[in-house]
Amino acid sequence: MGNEASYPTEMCSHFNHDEIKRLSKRFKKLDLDCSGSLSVDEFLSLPELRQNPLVQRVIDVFDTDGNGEVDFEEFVVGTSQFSVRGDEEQKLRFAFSIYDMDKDGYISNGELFQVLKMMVRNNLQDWQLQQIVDKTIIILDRDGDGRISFEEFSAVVGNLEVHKKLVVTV
Amino acid sequence: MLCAALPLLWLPLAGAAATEEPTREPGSPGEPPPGLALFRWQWHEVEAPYLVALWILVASLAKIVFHLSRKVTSLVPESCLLILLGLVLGGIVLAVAKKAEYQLEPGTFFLFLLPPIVLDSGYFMPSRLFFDNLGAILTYAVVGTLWNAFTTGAALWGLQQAGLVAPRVQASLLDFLLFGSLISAVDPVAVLAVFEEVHVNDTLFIIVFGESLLNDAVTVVLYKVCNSFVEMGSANVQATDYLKGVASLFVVSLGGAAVGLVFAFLLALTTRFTKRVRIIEPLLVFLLAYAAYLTAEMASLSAILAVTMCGLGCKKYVEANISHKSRTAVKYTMKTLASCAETVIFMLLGISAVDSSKWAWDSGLVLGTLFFILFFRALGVVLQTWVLNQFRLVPLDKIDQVVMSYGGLRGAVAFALVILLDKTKVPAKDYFVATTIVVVFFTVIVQGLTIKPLVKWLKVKRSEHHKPTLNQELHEHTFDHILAAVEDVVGHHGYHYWRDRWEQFDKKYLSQLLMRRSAYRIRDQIWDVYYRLNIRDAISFVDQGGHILSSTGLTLPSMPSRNSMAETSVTNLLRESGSGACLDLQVIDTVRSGRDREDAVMHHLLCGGLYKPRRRYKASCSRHFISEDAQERQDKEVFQQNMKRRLESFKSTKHNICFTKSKPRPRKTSRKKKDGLANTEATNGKPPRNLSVQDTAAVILTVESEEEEESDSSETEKEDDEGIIFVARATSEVLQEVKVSGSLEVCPSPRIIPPSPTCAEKELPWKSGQGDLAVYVSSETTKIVPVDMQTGWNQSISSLESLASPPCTQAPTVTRLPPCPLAAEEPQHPFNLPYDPRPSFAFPPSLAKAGRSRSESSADIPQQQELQPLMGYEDRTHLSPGTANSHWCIQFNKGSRL
Repeated sequence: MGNEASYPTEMCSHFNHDEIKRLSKRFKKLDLDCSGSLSVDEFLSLPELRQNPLVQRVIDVFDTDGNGEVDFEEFVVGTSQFSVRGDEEQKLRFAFSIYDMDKDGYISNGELFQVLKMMVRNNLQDWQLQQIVDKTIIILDRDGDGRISFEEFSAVVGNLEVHKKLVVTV
Repeated sequence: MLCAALPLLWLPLAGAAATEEPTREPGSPGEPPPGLALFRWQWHEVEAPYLVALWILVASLAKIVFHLSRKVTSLVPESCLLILLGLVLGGIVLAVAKKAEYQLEPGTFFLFLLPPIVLDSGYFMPSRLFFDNLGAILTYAVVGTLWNAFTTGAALWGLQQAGLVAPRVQASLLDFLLFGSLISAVDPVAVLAVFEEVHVNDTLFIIVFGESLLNDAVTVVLYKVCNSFVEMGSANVQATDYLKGVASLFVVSLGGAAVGLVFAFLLALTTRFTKRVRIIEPLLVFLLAYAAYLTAEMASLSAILAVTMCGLGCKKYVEANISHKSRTAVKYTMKTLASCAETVIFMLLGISAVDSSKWAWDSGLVLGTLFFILFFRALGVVLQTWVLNQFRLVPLDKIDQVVMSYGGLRGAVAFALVILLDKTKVPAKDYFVATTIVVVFFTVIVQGLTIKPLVKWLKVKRSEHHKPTLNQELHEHTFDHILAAVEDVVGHHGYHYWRDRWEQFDKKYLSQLLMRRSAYRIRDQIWDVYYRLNIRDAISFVDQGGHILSSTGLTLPSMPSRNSMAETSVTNLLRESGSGACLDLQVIDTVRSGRDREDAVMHHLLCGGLYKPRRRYKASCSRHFISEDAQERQDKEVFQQNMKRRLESFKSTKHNICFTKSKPRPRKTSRKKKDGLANTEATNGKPPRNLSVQDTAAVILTVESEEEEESDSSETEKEDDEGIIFVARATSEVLQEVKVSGSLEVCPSPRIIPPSPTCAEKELPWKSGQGDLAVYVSSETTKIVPVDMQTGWNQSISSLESLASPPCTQAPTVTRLPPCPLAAEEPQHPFNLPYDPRPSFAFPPSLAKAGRSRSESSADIPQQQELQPLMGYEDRTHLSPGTANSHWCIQFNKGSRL
């Protein structure tokens, strides 16, 4: 595991060789049981990550094949979306899939509520949060089906210059 | 702060004032008599503050004049105009007083004029943006300023060595470096004045502006170090002094920032405990910020940095702690002070330039300086940006660099510093003063004038001024968390990592310590934005004046399906009947505030008892307007009302359900509350209400010459009121009451509404409207709300608006009612009876069914049919199919009920 040469470079075209090397090092460090993939527990071994409300969502999005673990390929592909060289659509997709918990391509009212609940924790009452969610959905929802498609999402969120914000140096 | 302080500026100027004042105040008596004076002229006692006030007034008036013409202000920055005005005024003063007066004194400038501006910019600094770009800002502020100072100074010295500067300018390398240090700093006042009008994109703005604020520390240090070197004489400067100079850079900047943060902490902590003395909250903000400034100044630290940090640091906590009104007060006072100070500064700059005795011209020096500051600024920006772009995730492009170089405006700080130079130590001071004035004028006027066209021409990305949207706030929170998570995962401790840590720390300790517990609990940014959005919606909703008052009133522009409906009063009527079934509209209606309810209540109060004064008013006001027709209608209305009242009083006495509560019989009221109405505050606020009602009744009697007894009419009036009020009550009670009384009702009169709450309850919607709103909204009764509201708005929108005040003011308001609502209402009068009943019939079908007898609901239907054709047409033309369907649906429902 961690043999970055085994992965074709086009797979993670946003990273150069150095960056992949660094990622691989990081991956090995996180992979406490050397299983070749990172479980949620291994992620949560980082104390600062434990405080992050969305860490579970991020891991879920990283875990593209849904086996509950993030292998190196998923790790690189996931992080590469945050590369400076990543395109806007990719970053928007990532943000979208943070909300889209059941991966059906739509953000439903309930999904948005759950994600926001993670973020605000107990700062807000549930009914307050529900009002916010309702309003957000109303604003975003153009075709009136009560849920948000990626197109609707990117129409509004695309204005926020996501491609400039969602950038992480590796 | 400013007004009290400015006298210092004028103190030395008594002579000129004395010569000038008489022209300004003609009619002053010449010699007061020696004895008891009836009238004494004591100019000298008020002179100083008077002059200050006068100057500020002149400046403000000038501002008003400038802004009369949109064209001028859109082309020329205000700062330019003010400087030019200053030049003119200076010329006048010079001509009148024969010597230059009213100059920009460095003491006044640094102690009184500068702090408000800096506080304003620090307090309202977009902190997120600032910290996002902190690296770039710091680089430009520290490295850039150092670079500018040294290169400009050295280049000027080289110019002198090359013989291009006249030999009468006696200056050594150190003098030139000193001059370079004061002329190199970008001035926050000038930058703010110009860039606020240019609207470049946020990043660019924050970089230039942040630099101008933070470079103060560097400027102060450089200036002081160079100044002391000059005073020591270059020969005596030791190597350690250079080291000390470098060290003092850190001491001054970090010390200034620390002072600012300490005061920010104190300020936040103090405002935590001002719950009972709200009135001093704004004062505290200003006092402590000013104290920070003075403390830093006293310790010869960077005062600008101190105030900036204080404003930046305290804002979050202070805003959470102080009341909404205090927030507004702080905002406006700060803006007023800052704008006032800025105006005065630019005007005085203009005036100061007139004084030719202070300055000496040397073309070589002036032109050389102008060229060098522009050149080295541009070069410095390009070099630093190149370095920065290696690290920046979002690089600054060429156009940004051009604007940044060109936006390096110099201003009053440089001027004040150059005035402070000691002529005995710096022999070339006069030349430096002249050069500084030219540089300031050139940058503010020429660059200020041209930067707007330049920005337009280069197509610099402008800032779109959009209000915070809920989505933006939500998603940015999400992005922050995502980024922090990903940074953690890849193990790169970048900016987001530290921001995340800071926020954790803030949440855990700082906010707990510095925020009021109540404030802390409700403090959530997302909720804040949501709240603000709601308020904005509500305001626009009110602004639209009830034209689109049905459920669409609160919809957002992004709800196309509902937006397209043109809402007429008829469609509102429709909606009304449909509101029981139109579920998705209800969803929005439930978000309605207690205000709507108040409006509804108010409306019913109005249309119940208070219509007659309106009539009278109209007759007396626009006599020619009233026709016999109106008179006729009026009579009819009076008749109807009287009949109604009689019926009601008859019924109430008969069934003993409606409570009579005239003033003479308060006991009775309480006794009759046996029906189980929750009436704990029965007698509260009763006298005023009764009074007002009786007043109205009296008017009615005299005007209409009714034959009813006064007591009788007042009584029924009140019942009227209360009966209507009932509409806005909570479900359970409504149900109860309907059950109690519904079966007893015989007459379909609209005014016969199930037993009413008492006077105190009438008060309730106003006093505790917010309180029981939740119950109200959540339960089934919500269906009543839109109905009440719509009817209310339909009938007399403007009268409602004029009445959005406590109920006690009812009677007076009515007599003063403007004629316009009347006109709007006129056509409806024929329908008055069938129309009015709507509120009482508007219970949700289920409730109505439960409560009413057959006969009543059958009486209900013809009425609806009467209105129907009218509504039907409007319906087809204006309503979207969805609503139309719902309407017809309702009609069917009603029919089937029959």
